[in-house]
Amino acid sequence: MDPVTRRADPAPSVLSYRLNRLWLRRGIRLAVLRGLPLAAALAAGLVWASDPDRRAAMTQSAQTVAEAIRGRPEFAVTQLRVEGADGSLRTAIAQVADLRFPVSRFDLDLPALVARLEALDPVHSAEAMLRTGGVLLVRVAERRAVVAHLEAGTVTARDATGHRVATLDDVAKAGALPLIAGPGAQDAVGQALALTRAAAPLEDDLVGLVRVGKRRWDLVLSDDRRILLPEAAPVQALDRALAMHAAKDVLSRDVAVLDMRLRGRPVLRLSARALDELHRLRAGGPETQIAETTR
Amino acid sequence: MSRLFQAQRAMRRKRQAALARGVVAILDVGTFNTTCLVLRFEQNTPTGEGVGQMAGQSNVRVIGAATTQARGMRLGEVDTMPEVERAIRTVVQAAQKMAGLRVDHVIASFSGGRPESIALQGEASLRDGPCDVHDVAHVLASIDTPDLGEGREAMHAQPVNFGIDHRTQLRDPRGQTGEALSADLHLLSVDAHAIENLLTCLHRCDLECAGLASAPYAAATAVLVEDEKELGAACIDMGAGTTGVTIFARRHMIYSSTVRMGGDHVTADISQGLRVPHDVAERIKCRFGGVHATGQDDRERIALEAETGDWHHDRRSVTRTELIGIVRPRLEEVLEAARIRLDEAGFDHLPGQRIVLTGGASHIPGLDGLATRILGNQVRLGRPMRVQGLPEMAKGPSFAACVGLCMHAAAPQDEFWDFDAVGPRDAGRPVKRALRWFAENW
Repeated sequence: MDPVTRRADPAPSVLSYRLNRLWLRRGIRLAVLRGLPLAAALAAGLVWASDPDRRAAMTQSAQTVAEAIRGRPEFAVTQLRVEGADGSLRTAIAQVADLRFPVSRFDLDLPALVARLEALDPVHSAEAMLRTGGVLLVRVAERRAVVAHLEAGTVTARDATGHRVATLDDVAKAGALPLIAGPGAQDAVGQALALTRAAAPLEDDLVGLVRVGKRRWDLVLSDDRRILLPEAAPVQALDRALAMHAAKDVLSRDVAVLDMRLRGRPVLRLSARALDELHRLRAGGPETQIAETTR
Repeated sequence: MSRLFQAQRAMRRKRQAALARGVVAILDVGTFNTTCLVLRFEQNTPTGEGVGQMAGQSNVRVIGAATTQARGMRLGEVDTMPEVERAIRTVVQAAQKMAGLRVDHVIASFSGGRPESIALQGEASLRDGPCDVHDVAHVLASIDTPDLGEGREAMHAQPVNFGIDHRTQLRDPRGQTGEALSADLHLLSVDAHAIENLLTCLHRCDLECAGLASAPYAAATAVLVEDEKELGAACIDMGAGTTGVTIFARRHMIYSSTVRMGGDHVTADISQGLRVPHDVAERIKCRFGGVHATGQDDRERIALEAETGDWHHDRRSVTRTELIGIVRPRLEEVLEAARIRLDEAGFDHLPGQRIVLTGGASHIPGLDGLATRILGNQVRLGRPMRVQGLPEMAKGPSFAACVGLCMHAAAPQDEFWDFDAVGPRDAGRPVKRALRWFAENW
């Protein structure tokens, strides 16, 4: 006889059938296979991090590792090389950079360094970059002084945009730089330069330019003679004055002020001595020719 | 007919839900096998030269299939409900595992419940203009539900024929003009409790029934070819518990019935006649069964070994002729009963006389020869058509009903064609009439 064995029922029980069908639901399977491990890992992390000592220890160890990496010689910057500057600017740059070598390249804040360098008066633009061999290269474009600005007893060299380049000891140090003066003169350096260029025929007589009322220029010549220029189109007014001079030799006469402010009506102001002479001549006879304005 | 409409529409809604989800299960609860197929709907109808019109089977792919020995079924009906549930759970779980996804909607078929065909007629006048969907719905609604008898329920109800005035046999009356529209309806009624028991089983397996079909009808849709369906043919689905007889004509089922005998009865006869256990009898039937005895069969002895302890009983043997002598009378009886059903249905008057044998019992060698003598000359053995992804083991005639259900799911030919049942439409009529008056007289 065969031993009486009870064969297992191949049919799944109701519970296993229901569980099987539940497992075949996409949402359930996703939740169990993805969501559950994620939640468990998250919970474990939160439990671990809820202890402040452990958090501090982890921060400490992370800092140690960061320090170790930061201090490696491969990342050390050992020298500063400056291009495009010399003399006093070079020392000023070194002073502003304020670096004690060797320094890790992770500690360098190059944008801040560039900002500090560009805050220097003689520096027009600067760029800083790290080169191989631990070199911090700073490339600088210097401002070029084009005018000397007299104000309140000091002489300031300024570039074409009116920005201060350096403070000079006295006017003699300015050399060939054109002189400008008056309040607000630094805001119209470009115009001053154009006027200086236009005034080239008067080069020997030219003393400088004075800004009047922060709006217009006076051209000051030797013997304190002045050409008053209008606010609008001063260069053309100066050209007209020079043409007048070329035609009638106006400025060589005894004239204190040539007023070109009104376009259609140039005015000559005689010096006191000339005025006396004029009065005297007028008293003398009508045939006497007098200096007169020309059209 | 409104109750029938309601039930069918509820099932149609579930079927649409299953179609929207793209996955539906086929469950054939048979007497010998319980089979579950998981179908996925996909649009990949092949086109090109030589590819004819398909019955919609190209739109589905079988992605899961499982079959198991049936339990708790007798004569195509639920006999022991927990056992049937276990069998359903087994196949559904196995098919789900193969498919890798969960199925909620199931289209089921069963062969029991003593299906009976009833032909019904209805007539309605075409009141305004050519026939439209509303008129069809109206004529279908005008058909009264006959007295189906105590505990009977309509399972399939399909309009098979339309007529307008004296013209009949219209396939689709829409758009045609006439005075009166008549419709012939074929109604298949089955035992309500049989349906109820099966639905309870499905419900207790957490499955929703998205459709219910009579297994002989499903098998006939899978096995009959187009011209057979058109000209008229009978499909004899020889299952284990029942033998279904279905007649198709003009592409519609016009008659269906079952003979409550099948392969299981043959096995029971062998078991009784040879005094062997049921499973041994089943094995002997499948291995040695036949219907024509020859001289060779007299010499072929079949050992009937057993372990009862009785030496003489354990060492018996029979000749194959004796086995055939047991098998053949039962099969003849089945086929003759089928012949009677065909005669009742008036199969002789159809233009086509083709009879197709299918089902698990049609595997017995020589059956077509025997059937020819009883049923007529034009007998063939039918195999179901191909469905993509169907495993090799499910391609035989035993699975004709499953394949038919696949077709049922793929080409959802509704029980009422595609005509929606609409209620009385008198509410909107005056407005419509006024609009028409404007259209005609303006």
